[in-house]
Amino acid sequence: MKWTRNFSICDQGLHADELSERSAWFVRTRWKAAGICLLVGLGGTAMPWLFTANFHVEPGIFFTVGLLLIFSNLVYADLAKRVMQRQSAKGGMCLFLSAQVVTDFMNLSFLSYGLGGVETPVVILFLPHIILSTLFFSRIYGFFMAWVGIFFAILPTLLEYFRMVPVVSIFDVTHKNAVISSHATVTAGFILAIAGGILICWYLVSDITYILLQRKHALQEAIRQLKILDQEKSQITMRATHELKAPFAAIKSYVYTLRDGYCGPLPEKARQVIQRMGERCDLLMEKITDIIHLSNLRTITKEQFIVTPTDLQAIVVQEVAEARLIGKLRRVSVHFQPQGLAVSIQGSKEHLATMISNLLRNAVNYSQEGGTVEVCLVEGGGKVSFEVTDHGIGIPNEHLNKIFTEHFRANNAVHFNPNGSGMGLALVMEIVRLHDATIDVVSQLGQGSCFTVTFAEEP
Amino acid sequence: MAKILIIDDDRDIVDNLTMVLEGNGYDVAVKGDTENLLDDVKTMHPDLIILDIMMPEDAQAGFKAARVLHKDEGCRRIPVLIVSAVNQRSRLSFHFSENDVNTDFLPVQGFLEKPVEPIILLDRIKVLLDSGG
Repeated sequence: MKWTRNFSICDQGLHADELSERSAWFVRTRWKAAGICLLVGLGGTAMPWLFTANFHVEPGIFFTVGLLLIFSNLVYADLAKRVMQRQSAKGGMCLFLSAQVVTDFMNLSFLSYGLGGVETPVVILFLPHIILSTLFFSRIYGFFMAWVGIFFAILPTLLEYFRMVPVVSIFDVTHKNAVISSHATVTAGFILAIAGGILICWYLVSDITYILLQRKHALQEAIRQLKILDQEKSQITMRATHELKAPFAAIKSYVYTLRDGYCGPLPEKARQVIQRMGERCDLLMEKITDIIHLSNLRTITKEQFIVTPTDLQAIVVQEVAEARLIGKLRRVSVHFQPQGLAVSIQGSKEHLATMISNLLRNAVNYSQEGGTVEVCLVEGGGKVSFEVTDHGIGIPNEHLNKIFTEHFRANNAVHFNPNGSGMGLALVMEIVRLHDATIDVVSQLGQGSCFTVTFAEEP
Repeated sequence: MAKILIIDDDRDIVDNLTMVLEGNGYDVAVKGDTENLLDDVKTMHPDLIILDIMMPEDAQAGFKAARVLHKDEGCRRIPVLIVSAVNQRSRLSFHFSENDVNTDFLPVQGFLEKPVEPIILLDRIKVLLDSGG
């Protein structure tokens, strides 16, 4: 067992916000307790036989405690606002919680006295507050609060024993024969039993709380380290991307300046060479970008992947417009009829755009000249499907299970379009995985292919 | 003619941009890093700044420089156009709207990814200069 090295009221790992949340919960619970007290008081007044069948209880005690709780809560609600506005909100909130626990001990002590002190099981109500103290406060302060609890739990019995207050016994209407506070041995025995019970309760709960807090701190530290690693990874990836892209960007910029005549007029043959240099540069840059993008996606777990409500249709409209521009060069038309309303799913807009763009580009690039590509969104059964159908070269049956592997390209695809990177569908598959979606492919060689990605629709 | 300040550490990119801009009648000034930014900008009096993001001193030097310029009363009016090989997929904070609460607002007037087609660059510069940023 370890003790907190530096004395502090609250656990050092707790923030002011957490303490404020706990305080608000405490206040809410007290409203309920006040309500129960008032209801019991009303019940006792309306049906007196309930309280006088085999014992005698004054309903007034419940009214008094209920009203005391309401009054304390009104004060606490005002205090809570002031404490959170202070600069040292955490210290203030700890003292505030501490004050709440002590006030509750006082109310419980009063209730306990009205119901016959340790003669009735009301003293058990001190235990939840001891448990709460171990959750709110540091271990050493929780121990101190346990002793404060013991003091208030035994106070009515002590006061009765020394005849400082009238003896109250619920089992004797005359309040003369209170057994416990009338006999020294019995009184001492009960007081010791209560003190022992409260201390055992503090020990067990504080021990478990300590272990849980240690685990919480370890978890917080692990999360902090993971965030640092994630930031470092992002920085490294960004630098790597930059270092690889920057030279190509410079080469391509030279191609542009040569092509546009900034270095003087070029002969036609030289213009053609420059044009081809630029195209190869683009392809290589695209491949590099895809490889980096794919490796980035593979390092992301579903838990790390940030999704927000996203309008899938808006992305499809945008990407179809892009695909139509690419299709224009080869007279491939792309058909899509948007529906009236937004189609909302939980997703990452940027990654969904990459996925849709890759599927549409493939459909256009592997269509015959003058061909058509049909795109549709189908909603139903809590799901949304994005479907792309082309009437192009199709995929050989034996290659269907390999098309999502990076760098893989079917023979007919290589022959038809030598410039493909073989990365597009691997990226699509990773994005599908991160969205918890599914992808289906139906293809017939020489007839075309249909890719369907199905997402869960946002309710 | 308008004066354009290029802040970029890549000599090839700077030479290319200079060729394109001077070829279209702009005055060009060049700065290879973001050190002494405010002093240099105030000395050079550019009408527009072309700014790279990633420079040897910092992976987000361009972002930081844009914020420094925005905070300075004398430099705030100068339009800033980011031209970088880093794109919006890079998990950097590309937030161009001041209304984006809880994000680092990026006070720039435009973003172009390298390599830039000269015609697109010239068009964007013209729009920014005509609109006064």
